[in-house]
Order: sequence, then C-alpha cells, then structure tokens
Amino acid sequence: MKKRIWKTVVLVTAIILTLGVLGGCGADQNAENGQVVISVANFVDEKTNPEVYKSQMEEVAGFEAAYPNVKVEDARWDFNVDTFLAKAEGGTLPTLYYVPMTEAENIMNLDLAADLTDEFEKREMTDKLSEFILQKISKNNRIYLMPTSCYDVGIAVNIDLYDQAGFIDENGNLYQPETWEDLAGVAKKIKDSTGVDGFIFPTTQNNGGWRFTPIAWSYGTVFETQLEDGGWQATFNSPECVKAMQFVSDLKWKYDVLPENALISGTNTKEQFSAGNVAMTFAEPNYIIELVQNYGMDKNKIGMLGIPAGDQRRVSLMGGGFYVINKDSTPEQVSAAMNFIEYRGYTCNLTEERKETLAKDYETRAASGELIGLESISPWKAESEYGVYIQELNRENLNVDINHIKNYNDKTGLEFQQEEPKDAQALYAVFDNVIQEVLTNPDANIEGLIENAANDFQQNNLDYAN
Amino acid sequence: MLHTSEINLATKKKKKKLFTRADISGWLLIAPSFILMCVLILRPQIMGMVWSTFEMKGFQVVKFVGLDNFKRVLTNTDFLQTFINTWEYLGWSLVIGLLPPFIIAIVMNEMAVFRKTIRTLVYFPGIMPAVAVSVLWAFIYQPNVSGMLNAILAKFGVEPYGWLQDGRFTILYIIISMTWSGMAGTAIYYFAGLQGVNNELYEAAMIDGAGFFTRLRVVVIPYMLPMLLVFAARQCIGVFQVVDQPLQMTGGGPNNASMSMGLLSYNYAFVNYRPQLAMVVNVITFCVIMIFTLIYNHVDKRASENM
Repeated sequence: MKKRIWKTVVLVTAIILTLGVLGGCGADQNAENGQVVISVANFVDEKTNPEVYKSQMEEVAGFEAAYPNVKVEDARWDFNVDTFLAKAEGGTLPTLYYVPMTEAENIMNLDLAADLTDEFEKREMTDKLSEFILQKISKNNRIYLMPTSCYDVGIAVNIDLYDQAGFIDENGNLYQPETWEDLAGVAKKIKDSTGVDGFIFPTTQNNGGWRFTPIAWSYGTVFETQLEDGGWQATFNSPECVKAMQFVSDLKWKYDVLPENALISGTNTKEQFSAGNVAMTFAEPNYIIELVQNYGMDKNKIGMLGIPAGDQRRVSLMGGGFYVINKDSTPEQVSAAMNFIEYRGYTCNLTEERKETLAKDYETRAASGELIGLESISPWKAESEYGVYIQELNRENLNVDINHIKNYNDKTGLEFQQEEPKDAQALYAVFDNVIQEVLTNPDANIEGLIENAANDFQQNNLDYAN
Repeated sequence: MLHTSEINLATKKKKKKLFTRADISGWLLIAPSFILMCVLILRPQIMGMVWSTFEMKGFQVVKFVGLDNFKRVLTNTDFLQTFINTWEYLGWSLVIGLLPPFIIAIVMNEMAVFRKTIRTLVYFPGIMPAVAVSVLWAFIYQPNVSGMLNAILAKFGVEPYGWLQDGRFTILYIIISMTWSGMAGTAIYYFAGLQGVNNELYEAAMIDGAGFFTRLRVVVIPYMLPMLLVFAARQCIGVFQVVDQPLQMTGGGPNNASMSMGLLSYNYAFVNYRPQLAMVVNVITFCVIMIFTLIYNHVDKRASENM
C-alpha cells in the first residue's frame, strides 16, 4: 500500500512538472467571441508617460467604439533588434508594429510583412504616395509597409551655448552654417568661447557610418553602383569620399571640436548633448522627441539647423518610420490594422473625425512637453490634404520660439536622398571602423583606409548581393 | 569461453537492469529536466549546426548551401582579426584574471578580524549586472580629464590617456574590468576550498618554522592546484564567449581592435539579420570551447579523485 502511494505521488509530480514544461508553449491570440483581435506595439510606457498613455488608450477606446468587431491589445513591445527575429520565429510579433526606415529593406527581404497592395488600392492611397516612399515600401511591384513619418537629418544645437558664442543675433535668429567647413568654424568658436566641445559625432554600433553618408554625398561620393549584369560594385574609393573623411578628421585634429572619447554610441551622443556637454550634433525630429522625453532636455534649449553643404551638393539623408502588419495576420486582422492606422490619422485619407483625432494627438503631445513645430517631409504627395493639414497643426501647436527651428524647416535648395540600397547597415559598420581609426590616429592614412573599406565591403557584402 | 548467445543474454540481462519497473519513478522524476535539457540546450545546439549549412530568411530555412556560409565567414576580412582578438582576450584573462581571486581568497583566509566585512566587500562587484559594470568602467576609462583614471593621473601631472581608444591595449583594459566584476565569485569558491586545507599539515609547517610563503608553497598551492586548474578551464570557456563588455564599452572598436567572436556573431544575427552566418561563428566557437571542455572534464575528474 505504502509503495503504491509513493508511486502515485511520483507519477503525479512527474506529470505536473512535465505539463509545467510544456505549458508555456503557444498561446492563441485569434478571435474572441467573433471579434477580430489585433495586438499593437509602440504604445508609450504607462508608468513613465502616464498622460500620453492615457490619451493613447482613449484613442483605442474611440477606435473600438467605431469598430465594435475589433479589439486592440497593447503588445507592450517596441521594435528592437535583440528580440525581433526570435519573436518572428516564435510567431509572437504583434499584428501591427513600427520600424525605422533603416529596417524597411530587411523586413521585406525577410518576408515578414503582409501584402498591403489591395488595401492601398481599396483606400485609394497608392497614387497619393510620394514617389520615393512608394519605391521604399514596395518589392516586386507590391506594397508591404505603411509610411507614418518621414524626415530629413539636420543639426541640433544647444541654444545657450550657441548664444554664448554669439551665433544668435539680436532678433533671435540662429546662424545657419552654409558648408561643413563653416560648421566646423562655428564649433571651434563655441569651444573657444565656452570651453564646451562644439560637436559630437557618434562612432559605434553603425551610427558613425550612418551619420557620415550625407556628408560623403555632399562631397560627391557614390557608395554603390549597380553593374549591367545586376551585380553591385563599391565605388566609394574615390577622392570625393576621401575629402569627406578628411573633414571628419579635421573636426578632431584641425579644429579640435570633438570630445576626447572617440568610441561613442548613439545613446552616448544623446546623453552628452542633453547634458549640455556638447553644443551640436546630428538630429531629426524623432531624435528631438527622445531628447525631451527620455533625457529630460528642455525643449526651449534646443535649436535645429538645416544640414550644411559639401562642395558638390546640399543633401540630407531621409529617415522615417513605417508600420508593419504581421504577415501571419488574417485578412480581417490586416483590414482592422489598416483601419486602426487610418483612425490614428496616419493615412492620407482625412475625415473630420480623423482630423479631430490628429488635432487631439498634437494637443496631448504639446501638453506632455514635446517640441512641436519641426516640419517633417510628408510621405504623401505635397498637394495631399494630409500634408497640408499636418503643416497647419504644426503651426497651430508650435510651442517653441520659431527662430530656434526655422532654419531646419526651410528646405529650400535641399536635396533628399535615401540610404544606400544594398547592405546599408554593413556599409555603416565599415565606416564606423574608418571613422574610429581616423579619430584616434592623427596620422591615419585616409586614402588607404577608404580603399581597404571599399575592398572589404565589396568582398564581404556586395559580392553576395544580387 | 562464452558463446555469442550467452553474451547476448548477459547484455540483455544488463540492459533489462537499466530499465526495471523500479526505475520508472526515477525516470519520470528526471523527465522534466531531461525534456528541458533537450529542448533548451541540445536542440538549439544541433539546430545551430544544421542551420549553419543553410541559406536562411530570418530563422526560416530556405535551402541547403553546404559549406558556403563557412566560406563566407572564413573569407570575411574581419574574421581573422576577430579570431585572434578572441585568443587575446583569453590570454589576457589568464595573465590578469587567474591570480587575483586566489590572492583575495588567501587574504580573506589569513585575516583574523573583519573576515565577514571583507567577504561582503569583495563580493560586491559580483552582484552588479554586466551592463552596469561596463558603464562604470567606461566612466573609469573616460579619455578626457573627467575620467576617473585620468583624473588620478592629472594629480601627478600626467597628460590624459585614451585608454580604450588605444587599440593595442583595448582588450587588456576590457579584461581588467571583467576581472574586477568576475573575481568575487571565484574568490568565494577559492575561500571555501581553502577551508578544506588540512589544518594539521598547516600547523606542522608553522611549528617547523615555515613562513607564510613557504606554507603557501608547500601546503596550500598543492592542495588548491586542481581547483585552480578547473577554474582556469572554466575561465577559458567563459572568456571565449565574451559579448557584453566589448558591445557596451567599445562596440568592438577602435577599428575592430576589440571585436570578439561573440560580438561578431551578435552582429551577424541581430544587426545584419543573417543568423546562418552567426551560427557559423558559433560552430567555430563551439569547436574551440569543446576542446576546453574536454580539458575541464579531465582536470575536474582528477581534482575530484584527489579531493
């Protein structure tokens, strides 16, 4: 009897433990009570940003009231490279999530995005997309991503330091450096008069290469060229690229305006700039939002300038973001997710209701302390109702001195360019190495480094591109 | 001489003994752990090896490509330097990291007072997360005058030094930070080991007039040597997989000077979305670590026999 009890205890324990092991596997997120459930990422954190979260949840409630057959769940996840692939493989990516423009090519190549072509056609949005965005979100003539924002890179300045160095006139206008050399001169004067480093250039985790590309373009660099046979050739082993890299070197060794540390991540850059330890850096509207919300910088202390020109062009790198609808979504979920995007006001189709939603969104963002007034590039054609309305909201909700940002908002004579088409991240990594060497070695052979970088990029990446 | 049938019978009997009804409860009890081990340890390792021979889209297998991925990784212009760097990590970790925990354990053991306080203080770095340690040491190594080490140097009129930016020694400086955070746990193990030193031998040596260093040489070190070797092997295994510290402190720079195999694998998988190439790096790392593991097992077995 005792033996039987013992056996039973062991058996039950083993079953419980085994079920415990297997119990975590799989959870169905599909329809509940006939409702279409969509999980949506990128809501702000409830604890750190309660006001905005509350407003977002009100928006969700409004959407659910308008579409009673749809239930929106907060996926409590933001896109990040560490968890992305694992979630994709595990089938736990949300129905709808946001990715930066730099990931667009990867997402489409990995076949992780639902085909939205029919939804775009149904909503009469395809013809309203600007040409460059249509190109960016399409593969084999099908549309896979939904553009939400689009911007160009500018230069952020610390207003106090800029003022102390005499670069704000009596009318409050900020001096706009016309060329990169001009910018270096400004940075030097700031350092001489305030003792603070004039500029910060991120150099690690692919940030260095990313920030270097518009400088190189402006000096006439062509990074990649497609050959007649469809292959790709690295073409940046050129005097133009050497000249652009010489400018980066000069920032350190001629003008001495960079911090001593030459191994700086994107996060370090934000920390240093928001703490007032440096006067200028590369930035775009989303970057400014982060500086204010996550790094506690006073929005009134931030100015934005247009990007300076090289000796060939004045060109800025375009960035932005897209919504991705998970490829595993049912047609009903795809449609519900598109409705949600439309409800939030991210499509070009504006109804009075959606205008109200957008207006309320702007009010909430302004109330939360976000800097409002920086003009983005519309992903839709310039004449679209959406673009015009957004500009109107920007002006109505402007909450900083317009003089601080008007140079950035003035896009006259500015060219826009998308990141390089093949293996952009690997290209940035290659240039991270070159920039690190150039900024740590005053005798670096720039021409040799660029030559090696081109050979490396060709051998390691472009030889495998098609 | 036994006939074949008799041998088979004997084997059968032996096999049957392994799986008697009486053992069922034992097998059932280890089943959850066994399943976990298969699912979480064995399966990923085997799948990693298999996937390293496939073209992949994310984690989806596309087609078998044989050794093409290995060719791509091995001919990558950064690979050789990365492989050498990883051995450099290992070399510095043995030079810098092996003795400090042992010395600390001996100091703790020899101290008559404040033993508990010292033990707590020594263990403190061990409870800090790796990322926090990296941030702390990045501050210590700041190349300007606000960096802690440069601030100390400045007191003596020495010019600020680039520390992590000096590509010749970046790995050494990273290893120093790793040793600082990792030695606490090892020191506690050594300290526990030292409690097993035969007191009679120790006292006899003292009566014979042996000083501290003689006692250390003739009593402590011979006793602790197997344990030291085991931890050296474990350290080799751990350091060969280093990712966090170079990722946080230098991003693998300057100019790849601190790139490790682990970080290269991370970049392939999470930055370039090419997990198959990450698997190749992991397979190569696995082969090297397997050698260390065999040495570890051999040394550990001998150590257990001597204990």
